Amino acid sequence: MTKHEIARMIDQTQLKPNISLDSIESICLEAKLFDFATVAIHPCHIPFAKELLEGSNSGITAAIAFPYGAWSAEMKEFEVRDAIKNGATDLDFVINVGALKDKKYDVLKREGEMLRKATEGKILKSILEVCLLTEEEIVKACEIYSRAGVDFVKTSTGFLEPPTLEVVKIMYETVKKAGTRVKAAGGIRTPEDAKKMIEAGATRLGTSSGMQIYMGWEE
Amino acid sequence: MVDLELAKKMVLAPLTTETSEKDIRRFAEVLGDIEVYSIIVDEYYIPLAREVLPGRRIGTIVSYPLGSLTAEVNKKIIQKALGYGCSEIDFSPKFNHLKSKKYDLVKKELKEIVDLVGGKLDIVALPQVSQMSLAEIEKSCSLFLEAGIKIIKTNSGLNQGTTEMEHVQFIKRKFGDSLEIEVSAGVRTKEQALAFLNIGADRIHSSTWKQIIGIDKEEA
Repeated sequence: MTKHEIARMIDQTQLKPNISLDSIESICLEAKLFDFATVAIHPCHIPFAKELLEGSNSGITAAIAFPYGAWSAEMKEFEVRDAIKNGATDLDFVINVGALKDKKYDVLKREGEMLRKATEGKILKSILEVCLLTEEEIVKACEIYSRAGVDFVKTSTGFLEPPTLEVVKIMYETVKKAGTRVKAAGGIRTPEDAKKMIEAGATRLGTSSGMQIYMGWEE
Repeated sequence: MVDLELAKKMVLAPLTTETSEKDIRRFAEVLGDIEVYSIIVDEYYIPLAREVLPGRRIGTIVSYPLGSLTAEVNKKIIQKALGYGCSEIDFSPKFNHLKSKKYDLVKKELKEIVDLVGGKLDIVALPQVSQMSLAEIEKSCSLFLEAGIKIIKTNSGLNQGTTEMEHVQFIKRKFGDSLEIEVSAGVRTKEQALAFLNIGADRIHSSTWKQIIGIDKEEA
């Protein structure tokens, strides 16, 4: 895999709550320079990032319903539409983990379908926060959101524990037939970490170390 | 033995990613008829909280933890809180605006929130004291008061540092009784809670509320 191919898999991420606009500027410059897939940021920073990314191939991932995901589908839909209006190309939403724990699968299905409808033509990724889930819950959530038509099932927000390779493999095996892809996020800091995640089935990587991964990548 | 007087000064927040309906129902059972100041839940759980915790002050978080939402989304969630009859919102102004001294933007945001709320619920503003200098804390609190916000919650508590006694003493010295102070992040024991209240804090947020007010472990 070439350096450019790995770059196109990276969502260069800056979702720390206490960030300055300087750090948003940095990741946008890196994204432009290395041709990362997107920068992943909080919705309030989208207009700023949009200006900086003008003329580049890099999109903007908006973190939706961060960090807990315990919003109604209507609230998430509103935020998704607002983010798209401001310039988001990718929407990474935290699923309703509590409803999954309660086995309220209709709530998850409705959420997935509503958000799919609201994001036509954009990339939609559902964040499961796998460190809080059993294997059965991970499989169930992958099935529900894949069926709802999301583009990616994503492991984690990055706020809690990072995913294991085993979990990424389970997610990949669950959704591959449907053509849904897997985004791994959390704890990916080196080219070796990235390589292992890709081997496990991920085709998109959420990381704040995109530059280090790109620089150290051996073709 | 439950300390009922201390309980009245507690703000409780069953708020985590995996909080489920079962958890909220269990929370209501454990709380029983113990009087607490208020209960903060995420937007999805407001209707359930209203149902299983009738007659209590219910609130929600807006732009948690440090002001990451757009003005439009803030507006929408506040409208929802108003529609559900919430008693308060815990509102995080944009941290990077406060840090980078963009006070006009802070004022604009606060004015929008205050105007939208129209006095129909309490606004609790979060200055995130653990990451501010004393001068920044003073400026933030002044801006809140100017906008008509009279309650602060010291910290978001999401791995962003803890509130120290010095923070509360400083705010109290500068603003006296014009600001109500809710202490959050770092209060784990009854002794700590009482120490903060003794130096002038008005209320305590803590995830270890059961231990603080003395609900038996078995019961919880």
